[in-house]
Amino acid sequence: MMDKHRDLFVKWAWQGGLIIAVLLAWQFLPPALGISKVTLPQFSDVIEWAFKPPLPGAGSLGANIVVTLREIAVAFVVAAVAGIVVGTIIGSSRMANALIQPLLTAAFAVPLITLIPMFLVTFGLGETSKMAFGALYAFFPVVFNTAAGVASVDDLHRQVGRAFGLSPWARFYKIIMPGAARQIFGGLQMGMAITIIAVVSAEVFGATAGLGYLIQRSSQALNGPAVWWVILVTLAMSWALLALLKLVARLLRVRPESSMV
Amino acid sequence: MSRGPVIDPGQQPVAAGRTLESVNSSTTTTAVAHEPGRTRTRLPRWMRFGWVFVAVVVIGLWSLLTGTKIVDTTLFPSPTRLSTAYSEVTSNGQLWNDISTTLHELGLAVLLFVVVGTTLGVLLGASARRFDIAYGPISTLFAMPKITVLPVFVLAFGLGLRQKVLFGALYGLFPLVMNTMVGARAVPVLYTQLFDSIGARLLFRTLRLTLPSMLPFFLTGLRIGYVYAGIGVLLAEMYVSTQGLGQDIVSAADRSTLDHFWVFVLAATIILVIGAGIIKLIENRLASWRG
Repeated sequence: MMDKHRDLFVKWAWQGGLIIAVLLAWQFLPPALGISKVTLPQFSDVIEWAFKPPLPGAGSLGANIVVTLREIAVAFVVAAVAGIVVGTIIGSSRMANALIQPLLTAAFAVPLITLIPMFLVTFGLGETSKMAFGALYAFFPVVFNTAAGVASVDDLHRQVGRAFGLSPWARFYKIIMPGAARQIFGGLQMGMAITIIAVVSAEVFGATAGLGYLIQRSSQALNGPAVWWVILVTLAMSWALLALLKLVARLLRVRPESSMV
Repeated sequence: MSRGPVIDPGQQPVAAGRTLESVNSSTTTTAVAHEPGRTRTRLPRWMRFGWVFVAVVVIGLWSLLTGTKIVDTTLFPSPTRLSTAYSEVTSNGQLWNDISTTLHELGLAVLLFVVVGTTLGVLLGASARRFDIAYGPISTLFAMPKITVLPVFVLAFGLGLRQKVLFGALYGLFPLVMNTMVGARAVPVLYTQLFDSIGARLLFRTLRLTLPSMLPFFLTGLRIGYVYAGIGVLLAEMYVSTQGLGQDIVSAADRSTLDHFWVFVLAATIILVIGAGIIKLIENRLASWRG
């Protein structure tokens, strides 16, 4: 037991040390290598920028974070609900699986990121296009993992449920969901990562607000510190969202597992 | 730190055979898929050709929906319109020019991420401690939207080839590093003990044990990384470029010629599917050889 604690401490010490090393390199290497302040400003410049007033006309950082978070939230919820519903149907019926799974796999073979321009043309530059695109992209990992999870539920358990005369809803809630929970959460985790990537990417290509928009504006203004500050904020935001999901999984006593490794 | 899953775009999911837990803990026993009490009913004959069936249904529905104008034909052109669009974009050689541009960039990106990714993966997977320290942060970075650094790449490397190759390589790097790391830890303990007991030299051990054990993981990483690198190159072309499929896709959408748009999207899809398919074939052959 002691050993385990020591191992964990050593691991964290190493990780902390690595982060400090990266930050030190970021602070001192760019000037030493003669890298332009526009492409890679020193770390201190980036932190300094955080306390300066925002770019004129681009809105405050907080307001842009709120927009991106709202887009992510809507996209993720739509993808999660649709993915779990369709995934449960596919996972429960061999017929549905044989018919729908190839269709979904074929659709997911398309590099969906190339559809961003179409979503912008169809839904405009506002928040709707990001929500729609994020929901479409994140739907796939949720549906694949839910289907695999539901299909892996022990047939014996289902039979016991039927033998005890549980209603279809009770069977779904008491047998299928707990049995498939690990893989569903794995899919949700992946779905969250993909939602963030999809929403921010769509924002970079055309938006009126949001973190991707802010990065795009800052780079057009050739303001290196502003670009890097938003990159750091985006990194922190994605980490926080994934950590939140992991916390939910822990509260529900689920250890997420993904079938797409 | 999160031990996130390796996202595999465009591939049918397979049951989790090799999770990290099984790699780390059960190295002496072979995990056997546990499928208790599943009654396998045979599918009707017509459904075993699911792919053909689905293709026929899709094309049929597609013609029906576009023919009757139930779906917006400016967004989703009919099959005949799409084939006209295909001959339009191939007539002046534009499509093939841009495919070769994208392939050129993608090839260089793959070369780059294979060299860097394999080296990093082997180095970081060489010991259990290094694996433990590095895997979490790397998977966190993998889940991060890398498009945020694309504007920086453009500022640093200009508008040309370099920026696209580097961005594509960055995109493909993560899956390969993570898979190679797992592969480097996946040498069965029993075999290591066997090689120890016969006093095997490093070269023999590398050629006969380490490389063969790692190869399947490397190939999986290569396949996923290839698709990701393709997405990265397309993204970089879409962001700013004068040629390549990504640029075609954006300009077709800007000109509202969605029929051309779909031809380019399909071309990009085919490039990724064929590449990933070839690697998958090699993987399958190896899998059957390993038994």
